[in-house]
Order: sequence, then structure tokens, then C-alpha cells
Amino acid sequence: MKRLTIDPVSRIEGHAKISIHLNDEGHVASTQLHVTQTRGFEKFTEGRPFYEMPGITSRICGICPVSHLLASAKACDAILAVRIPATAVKLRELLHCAQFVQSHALSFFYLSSPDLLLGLDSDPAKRNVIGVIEKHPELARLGIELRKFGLQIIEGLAQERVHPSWVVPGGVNAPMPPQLRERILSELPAMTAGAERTINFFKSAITLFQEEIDNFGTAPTMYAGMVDRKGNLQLYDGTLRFRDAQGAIVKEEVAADDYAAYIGEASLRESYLKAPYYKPAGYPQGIYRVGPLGRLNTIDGCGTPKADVELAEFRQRFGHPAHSSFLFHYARLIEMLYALERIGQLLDDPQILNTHVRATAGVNSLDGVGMVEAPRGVLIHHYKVNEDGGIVWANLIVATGHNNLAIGKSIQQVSEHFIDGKKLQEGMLNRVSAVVRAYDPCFSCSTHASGQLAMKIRLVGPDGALLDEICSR
Amino acid sequence: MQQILVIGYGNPLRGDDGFGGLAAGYVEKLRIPGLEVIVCHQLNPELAAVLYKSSYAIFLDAVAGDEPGTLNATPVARCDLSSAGMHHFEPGSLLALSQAIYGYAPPAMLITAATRSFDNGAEISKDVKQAAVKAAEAIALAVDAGNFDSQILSNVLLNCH
Repeated sequence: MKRLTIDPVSRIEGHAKISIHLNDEGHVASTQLHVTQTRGFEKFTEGRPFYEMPGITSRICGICPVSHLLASAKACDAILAVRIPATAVKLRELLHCAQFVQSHALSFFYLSSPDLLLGLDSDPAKRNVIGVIEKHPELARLGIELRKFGLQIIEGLAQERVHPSWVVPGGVNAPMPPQLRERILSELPAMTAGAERTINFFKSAITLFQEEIDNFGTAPTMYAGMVDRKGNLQLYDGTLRFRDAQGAIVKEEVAADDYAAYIGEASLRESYLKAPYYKPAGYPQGIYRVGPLGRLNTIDGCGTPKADVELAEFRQRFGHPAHSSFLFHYARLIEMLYALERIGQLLDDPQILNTHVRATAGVNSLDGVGMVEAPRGVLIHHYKVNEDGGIVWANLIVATGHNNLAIGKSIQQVSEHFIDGKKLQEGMLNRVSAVVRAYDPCFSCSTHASGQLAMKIRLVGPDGALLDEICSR
Repeated sequence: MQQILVIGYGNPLRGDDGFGGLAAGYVEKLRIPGLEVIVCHQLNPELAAVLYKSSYAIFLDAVAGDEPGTLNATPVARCDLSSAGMHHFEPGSLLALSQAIYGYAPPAMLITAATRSFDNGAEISKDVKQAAVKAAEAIALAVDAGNFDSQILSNVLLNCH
């Protein structure tokens, strides 16, 4: 038995490594994804006042702090047992849609487009966002402007781009300035057109990746995502729905506070990341996927006109449910278009400028659960408090965790198809990393290198002798 | 009217690293027509989309070394884009990005203040606070005079009170 290690996986949020075990013939025997960091937020928040939780838990991530802020605030709303003002609901969703735009733009343009535009086998020293800027400045500009647009909305509403404190238990702490609404509306058509151009580009380029579409995590799984009462995409509110691998709805209308009846969490020996599963199916049979592909496979429709047209074409081309994890990229772009359309709908609502944006109350419930769709999938915050509002127990199920089992399966499939253990080539291993990137996992909000791949792969014989090595930093 | 962009950057939770944001905040309070102020944690690629619209850019940053509170003004040259990181940029690489994507990068100046400490905490040392006031005054004078020559700006920085 020989072992290859990809450490670290590059162009993802956080740290992870991959072990690939080869048999004596050089074929892939097994693979493992190791998430090599531990955070401990559930433990060290014990004893803190519940109203501090949005501010503390948003520090979990620098890319999607808004999702943690919202899930946490919703859990706190449940502890207050208040129904927050309708305008606050809309403002929170607006903030969330802006985050989807910036986060999806980051994933597609900054992290994954080097593979898609420059090629999975291209020179790793150039296969990064700088390479994209040099070779495709037009597309790079689109990425920068879409991300800037999302960040500007967040900053305009919440005063800070990262880790804002605007979302509070009971609502938000300030109404929307009318001039901000006008500014966003004036830029929205150009941004929407930019998102449409990106989708059209991707639709034309995707034909070059047929082998990846056919082999990047195509094993059927269940899917989960939040939907509204009509079964449409819902990022901020709604209930949880599960579909099986054939597309049949197996459970729906799962409210946030009922999540534990349907989601179990397994611990894995090789990773600090837990592996949630659909409890009625048991572990590990209850594997499911969330995030952009999971959501598009779960919903009946998006609920906005342009995104619905794109969803129909997506399903026509790849079926429903579409199983290839390579299609996460495509789904992400459709969702970016949806988020932009939804921003327009929310801004057109006359209620959006109302000034009553916060409800106040004391501790009325000792238990609260908040659930939102983060860019990478369903995010759940569950808190228990004492009568003074001090946290006595917390459980966070973070979006990427839901995909843990599916990412592992995808790594296995890609490794089996692309890796020849007798002679390593960088492009083979990049495909293993690329399937992880397709999920846009957020193992944490830490930094990662660009330029040459920060990756070391060693091929070691059964006797421990080093047979081959690719090392670049 | 020319659009002058002032970008103050640094981590406000690491002591004197908050110099850039503090100085930029002072500049903003002066409400100088034709001058846009951005305060950020670090330079990121999205700033290129603002930078290319400017006729002149001034970066404000904290640096280690030298006597705490010492100010310096140096022109920023575009550097090789391939030296840029993915998460944050230096002023020179941000100018290179602006040039690569938008076909234009404005002339730019970097004003730095030497720090006493980058320790955890939001407190900025007295020397660096004074440097932030001086830097804002120097920028106001330079904008008023329409002259951003680094030597002249350096002299202004030394003589501001």
C-alpha cells in the first residue's frame, strides 16, 4: 500500500489535506479528506450572554460572516420569542443576498476560474487569479465588480464589510438610508447584465469539461435546501426540504427547531469536521449534498424570472436532480443571478425604507434555533440559555459540514478516474483539488497562497521508500 | 474636478496598525471637495475598481522601525502583478492590477507612520495619533496646493503641527 498526500488543498477557504492510498498495482484503493483545524466556538461561548452570539460567531468566517450573523440572530430572536418587524426581515434578506453575490463571485472568479479559464493542466505557477487577470482581463473585471457590488451593499447597510454588527437579536439596529437604495438600484442593471454574461460564458465553456462533468462526484446522493411555501428558493427564511437521489421529496417543511429529528452528526476519525447525515436513512447511507447544487436540486423553482429561465435550461441539459459536482459552478452562477434579481425585488418593496426595524424583549425561551442558507449550504445555530440569558450549550452545523461525506466520495471517484499511481502528474492531483473547490468548502476563513501551488505530494512505497514527489510552494 | 482617492488601511485591533484608518478618518472629517476616503483592513482587488477612476491616490499605512510617529512620503511605482497575493495587495501591485484590468492607474503616494507597537488592542500610541493628525493636515495642504511632489509632501509632513 502506498499513500499520496495533498497538503494543503489550495484555493479553498481554510485548511485541509487529502490522503490517497494506492494498492501495489498503483491503483487508488481509498481516499480520505482531513480537515486539520479545530475551532471550538461551541465550547468557548458557554457562559457568554446570548446577545453577544451574533458578534462572536460571525468571527467564524471572513467570507460569509453575514450568514453566521443571521443564523445567530435568528436563534436569538427565538430566545426572545419575538416576531421581528417585517422591514427587518427584508433588510436582513437584502444583506444576505449581497453576501451571496460577493461570496459566489469570490468562489467562481477568484478561486475556480483559473481552472476553468486556463485549464486544469496549465502551468500551476500561472493557474491563479493573477493568471486570469493577465489572460482574461474582461472577465476578471466582471468578477471584481460583482464582488465589489456585494461588498458595497453590505458596507452601506451594516457600516462594515466584514463582521458587521448591524444585525441584532430582534431585527437590525438601523433602517436603510434612502440614498443607499437609490445607489444600489442605479448599479443593479449593469451587475445583473454582468452575471448573465458570466453564465453565458460558462455555458459555452462547459462543453470543454465533459470528462470532468462525467467524473466529478456523480454518485447519486440526497439533496437538502430551504424553500418557501411555494417550494421556491429561499436563502433567509423558509423550511428545510430533502429530496432523494431520484428527485422525490422525502421530507419537507422541517422547521429550524426540528432539525435534530432529521439531521444526525457523525464524528470521523480522520477529520475534525463532523459528517451530518439524514437521520431517518442512518449513517452513512443518509449522505446528502447542500449548497448551490443541493439547493437547485431541492427547489421547485427560483422564483425570479431570469434565474428561472436559467434553471429550466440547466435541468434540460443535466436532468433533475443533476448529480455531477462539477455543476456546482453552474448552479453558483444561477444563484448569483437570483440574488441580484432578489435585491431588485426587495428594493422595490415600499416597506424597505420603514424605520421600525427592531423588536425588543427579554429572555422568553431557554432554547433557540436559527437556520439560513449560507452560500455553501444550510447553516444552523442552536443555543440553550439559562434564565439570565447566559449560553449553557451551543451547537453549530456549518454549511460545509453537510457536504463532508459527499466531498469524500467525490475525491474517491476523481482519484480513481484520473490518478495513475505509477507516475504522478500535477494535473491529476489538481483535479482532486478541483473537485473539492467545486463545493467551495469553507473549512475556516484562513488565508491561502497564490502563485505556485502550495502543495506537496509524496509517493511512498510499501517499505517507506520515497518513489516520487511533487513539491511546490 | 480631479478626483483624489485616500485609502487608509491596517488592522484597528492591532495597536498602531490602526494608523491608516485613523489618519484617513481625520481626512474625511475635513470634507475636502473632490476627495474620496476609503478605510479598510487591507488592500484587496476590489479597490482597483475605484482606483482607476481617480486622478491621484494616497495610501496611508503603518510600518515597523524608525522612531515611533515618524512620517514618510514616497511615490508608489507599479510593480509586477505576479508578485501580488490573492488575499491582499500592496499599493504597487494594486496599481498594477488597475492598469491590467482598466488600462489606467493613477500616480500615487504612500504615507507611512513608524509605529511603537502592533500588540493586540484598539489603543493607538500618542506618537502615532499625532502622526495621523499631521498626515491629514499635510494631505489637506497638498490638495489645496494641487501639488503632490513627494519631496514637498515630506517637507510638509515634517513641518505640520
